[in-house]
Amino acid sequence: MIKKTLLGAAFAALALGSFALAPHDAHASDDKTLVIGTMWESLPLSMKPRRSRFFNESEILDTLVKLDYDLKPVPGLATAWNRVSPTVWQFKLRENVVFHDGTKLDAEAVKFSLERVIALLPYAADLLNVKSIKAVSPLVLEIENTEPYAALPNQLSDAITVVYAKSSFDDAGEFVKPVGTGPWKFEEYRKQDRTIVSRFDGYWGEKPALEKIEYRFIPDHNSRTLALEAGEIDFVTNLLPSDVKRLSKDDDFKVYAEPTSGLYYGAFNAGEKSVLSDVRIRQAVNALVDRNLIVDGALDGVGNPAWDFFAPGFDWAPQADAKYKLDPELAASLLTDAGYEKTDGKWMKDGQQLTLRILSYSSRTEMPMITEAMAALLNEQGIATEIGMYTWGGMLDLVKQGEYDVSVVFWTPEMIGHPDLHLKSQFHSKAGLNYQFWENADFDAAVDKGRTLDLGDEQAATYTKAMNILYDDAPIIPLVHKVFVVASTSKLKNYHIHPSGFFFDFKNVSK
Amino acid sequence: MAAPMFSITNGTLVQAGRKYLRGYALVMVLIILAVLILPFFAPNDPYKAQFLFRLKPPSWDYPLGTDALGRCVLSRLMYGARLTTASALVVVLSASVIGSLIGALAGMVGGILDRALMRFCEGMSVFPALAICMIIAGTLGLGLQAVIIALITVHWTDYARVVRNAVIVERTKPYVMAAEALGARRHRIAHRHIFPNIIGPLLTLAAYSMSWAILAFAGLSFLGLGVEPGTPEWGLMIAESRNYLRDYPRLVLAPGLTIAAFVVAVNLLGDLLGDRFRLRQINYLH
Repeated sequence: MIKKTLLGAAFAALALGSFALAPHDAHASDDKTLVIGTMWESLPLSMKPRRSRFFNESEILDTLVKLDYDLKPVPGLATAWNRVSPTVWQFKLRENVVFHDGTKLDAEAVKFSLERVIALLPYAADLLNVKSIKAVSPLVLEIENTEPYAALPNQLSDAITVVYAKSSFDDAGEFVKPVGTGPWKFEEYRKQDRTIVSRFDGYWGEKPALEKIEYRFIPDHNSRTLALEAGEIDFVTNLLPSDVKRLSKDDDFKVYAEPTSGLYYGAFNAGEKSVLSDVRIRQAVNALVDRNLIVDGALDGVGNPAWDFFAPGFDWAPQADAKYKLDPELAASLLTDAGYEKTDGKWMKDGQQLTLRILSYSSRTEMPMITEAMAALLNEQGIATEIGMYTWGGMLDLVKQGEYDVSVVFWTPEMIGHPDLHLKSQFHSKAGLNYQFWENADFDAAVDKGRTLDLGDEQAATYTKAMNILYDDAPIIPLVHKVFVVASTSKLKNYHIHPSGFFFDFKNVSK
Repeated sequence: MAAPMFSITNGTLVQAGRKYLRGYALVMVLIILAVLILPFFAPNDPYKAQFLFRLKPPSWDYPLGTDALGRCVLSRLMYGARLTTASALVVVLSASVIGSLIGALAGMVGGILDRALMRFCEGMSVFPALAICMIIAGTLGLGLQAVIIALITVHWTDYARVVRNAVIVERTKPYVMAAEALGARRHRIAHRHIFPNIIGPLLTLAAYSMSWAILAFAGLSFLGLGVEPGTPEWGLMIAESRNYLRDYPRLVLAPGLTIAAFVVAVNLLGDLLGDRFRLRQINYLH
């Protein structure tokens, strides 16, 4: 162990970003405290970062509906729900639930919270589709939608809909700090360093075994795993594939890996500033990149090759009737159709090689490797690339201006166990997150219809149609279905990966 | 070495200095040429990724093995040598020309212009060079050009200060006063009399700043501000391989040691020049 610590310290000193690990913090945790190293900073003092996900994944706040380990909706703060008319849902609230500030949870409190969320978060209204919210009785909440909306219970499992106590906001209605009903209450936030939560003894569910959880922000992917190996933290998220391999062989650590339907993909710019406005080129790119090589080459096998949009194996995820496949001949005929000619192994038109400007961001562990691998595979096939690696914000600026051809990004559609969230928020022509200048009226119609339908044949057929349009019109190139990986010390007990990838569920965990 | 090769106050110094300068210039040109044609001897295409041949140990075909994408590490180092040297050269040449002109102007004109220019230089050098580079490169957008411009912007002040100090020291020397007494114009004095006498310290500084530029260039590339990902550049090679530091340290060691060796070599050259031009007596650099 000493040798390991020394080795860890030596490498930590080498690795950039090692400043994140102050040496005197080593072995800070006792048996009742869990210390976690995270890739993103856990920002508790704003609702906006990462769509409020931290509040939900850390369970400071609860949602009305939760998802079980099969991503099926199960009771959260609501114990039951039913659709009283096509546009109206009623939710029966859990009894005897108190917020961290001692106030009681009732229908008025939930109404207040949801209305604040819709007022403060621009994308919330789009996803929730709410016309009015009514407290029918102290424990019955009624939500009326602007149109028939079957996906509402699923949407209410999304992190943006967590229920805030009134004291989370100031008099002007602005967010101050998270006060919720979850098993953990917010304790302390140190900027760029850590967020601490402690056990809430008035929690409505089973009392957690641990007393305190510290979320440490360690953005450097090497340092984060080194902190685990050096014994400074107990649990680490988003490991590098090479670290996954090594830790799996080490008895001092446990590695947890589960396939999720999170997807690494290249989003095509279908606008006029890009050659990819031509659907034939989008399809050709899809037929030219061997996803198996990306998984093996860039990710050491930690991931699943993505030839479709949603990962297979999830009931709720619709699939197109066909999958993409590696087909250089198809690609060649599509590119020839589009006016390109292959000379000296390069696809040329008007004396210029087909060149794609590829953007991505390096803060997500696997992103640079996947991007470079995709570019290398395209180069091999005669398509030139210019890669730009930015911060997330820097990349988004260029993307919004349309100054790109492909942006390599990641989606986590499984968050609500319903296809509506992703299809609506990413590809609908009216969606706030659609920066691809891609528009398809049939697709819009299918997605708008799908969210109104209850589970069943018609719903399935509608979403299959939407997926077929995506397949044919190819606004993206799916690359890798993410395998979600975390690691912990071998002392940690009862941890399971939640397939949403955004729910730690530390209630049962002990060490 | 027996004859006095360089003497500040002696009228023959220009002749003596020139002989060494010619030799030095020849060596420099040869080294630079060697580095620039190095890529032609690379055993493999430095860009070619081979996913089924990644992270391979050194072999006959791949003398330093392959990296995480299956590219030949040695070939990448050789291409990187050209890119790094050429960029550092551009930085050093531009910074030295700009800096020398401004320094000479300050030193020759003096007065308020001198004070204004020098305060500006000092203001620039208060900030950490890398921080300024990051701001400039960030503003101009990423890429090789932005980094070169950033490094020049930061670096010319060193030359301005050295040249200005040298000019002021030289101006009080008898040979300059003699020239002034003969009625020579100011720019003629600067150009014909003073400049040949301060070229020694300038070249020495250039050698040091070459190594600074190489390091700064690698540093910025490592941070992702320099060249496009995938380019064979030493700093970037370290950045791209650091995820494999634990299991394949050679991927980081190869570019790391290359940078270290290169910088040490350039610095030794600088020391050699410093000895030749007896900089310790002149003390312009400190």
